[in-house]
Amino acid sequence: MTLIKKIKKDYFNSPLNSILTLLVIFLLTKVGIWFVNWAFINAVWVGDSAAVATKNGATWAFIVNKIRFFMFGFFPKDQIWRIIVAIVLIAMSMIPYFIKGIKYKIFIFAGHMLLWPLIIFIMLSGGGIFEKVSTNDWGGLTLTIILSLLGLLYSFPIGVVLALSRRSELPVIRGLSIAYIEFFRGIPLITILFMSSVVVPFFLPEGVAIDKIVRVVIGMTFFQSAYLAEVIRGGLQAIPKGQYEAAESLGFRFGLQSYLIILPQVFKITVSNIGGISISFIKDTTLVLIIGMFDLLGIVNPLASDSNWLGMEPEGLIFAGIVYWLICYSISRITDKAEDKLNTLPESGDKK
Amino acid sequence: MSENSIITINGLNKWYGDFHVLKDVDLRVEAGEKIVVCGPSGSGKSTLIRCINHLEKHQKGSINVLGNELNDDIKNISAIREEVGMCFQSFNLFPHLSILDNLTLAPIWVRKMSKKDAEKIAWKYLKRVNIAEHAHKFPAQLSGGQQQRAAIARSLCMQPKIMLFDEPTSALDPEMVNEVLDVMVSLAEEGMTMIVVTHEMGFARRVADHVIFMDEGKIVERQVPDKFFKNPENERTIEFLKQIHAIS
Repeated sequence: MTLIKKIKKDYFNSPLNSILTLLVIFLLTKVGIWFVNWAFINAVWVGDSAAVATKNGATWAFIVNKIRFFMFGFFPKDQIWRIIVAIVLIAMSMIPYFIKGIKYKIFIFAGHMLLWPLIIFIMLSGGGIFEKVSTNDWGGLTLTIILSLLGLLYSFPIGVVLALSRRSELPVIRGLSIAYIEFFRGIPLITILFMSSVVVPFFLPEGVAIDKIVRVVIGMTFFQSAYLAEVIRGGLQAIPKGQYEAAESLGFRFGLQSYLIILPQVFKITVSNIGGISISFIKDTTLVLIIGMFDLLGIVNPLASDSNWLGMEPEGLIFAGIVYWLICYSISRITDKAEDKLNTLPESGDKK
Repeated sequence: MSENSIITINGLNKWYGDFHVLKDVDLRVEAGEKIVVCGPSGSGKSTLIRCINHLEKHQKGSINVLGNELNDDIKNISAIREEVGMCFQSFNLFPHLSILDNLTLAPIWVRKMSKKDAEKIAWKYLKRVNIAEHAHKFPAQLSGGQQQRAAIARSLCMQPKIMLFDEPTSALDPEMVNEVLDVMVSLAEEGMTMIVVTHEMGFARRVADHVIFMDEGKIVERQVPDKFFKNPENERTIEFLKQIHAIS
């Protein structure tokens, strides 16, 4: 009864509003029915070529057929197990974070900064142990994840150092930090990517070659760390002066004071911003398609150029969009959870 | 420098920009001595005690704490800070840590104590200040008085030789002032060297060996409490005391 009243009051309170409401309902239904028809009812799930496509249904058979390329790029089919092993190893290396009573969790992080590229190099590239796979063949979701993971892994510590230096009392350190941040925030990521793929090799001494992926990760790290530094600086500014004074009066010096007292509070304040910025970094990795790398988005075009599957871009793009959405939505959920957890005080009373 | 004096301040001067906060302050504190510093706001009393553990940097004069001359050497400063505890008006507990972790943090990381030993000391002082039952709560879950007692306990866990109090009861609701003062009185009775900036004249009468009156950056008068309250010498002191009496 009240629901009907509420609907009447909110959506049908005047002739014009009633008409608008009906119009919107009509359009939504129309589009909804069309989409369900296209995506599900008339969709084709099985088939070997574009010949199975129907006029008003999606051809998901394209995705089903090419799923290996979407996930692993042009990595040789018989070597894909190496990617899986790399993922498992990286996931396992996170276990120490969840072990209680480890005093220096920061060393685990530092360990990852060395370990993860090593795992990726040995397992994916071959590292002299396995059959060599050129980084040109890396692609799809694997490439997206490698770029995002390494970019975030390195830009975090650099961002923290930049943020702390920007508040330093030493003018030289502060100046350098400001110059770095303002420089990299002032140029578009695309420019950095072009520079790293086209200009940097030009300046390298003869005989020295740095792999394109390494150059791209370095370029993205420069860019992302500048943004992260500003987010973290915002958090630093929110910490009351009394916290520093209390820490100092207990004998803490700068390093331990930052690590134990200031930064934990900063992360608590900035966790949702850091989550948000991570999401935009992940989406920014799609720009590598411009310098000829085939990440999850970039690989849609070459796959849809397969003469058996001409005209399959819409399905490919929608699929890539869904995967990006799933990744970004999970991160957003994780940061929400983390924020809740950080902001809830434990049940009062002794928990012993 | 007398043999017993553990804080010796000579000719201390400090400026905030053009503002001359401390003017030629001399102060000697002996081991076990309790000194109450009072004076109108802006007289430099907080600045004075904040200079002692170098939260404020002085520009002229010398401060010697426990035989260490305060200078810009960070090692020297840290060494002094480890021996000098400080309590603030706004408590400044670490909000992301439980009360117990607040207490053990510095002993573990600065004193390099084992977690077990640090907790043993922490429990001792938590019981002393009567908040043991709140050990696993977070600062935000405690009343102001409880937080200030926790902050005192946190300083004591470093087993300091000197305690500085910067208006420890000024931010408290009136009914919580006494629970904090009681802790401070018992600390004084145990022989802790204390410098207390406060307007609690009852406390000054009870525990102070000397009361110092500051005005416009100078120590105007230094007396034993009896004389200070009954028979002050300086005009400004008399005026100040009148004002305080008028309120209470």
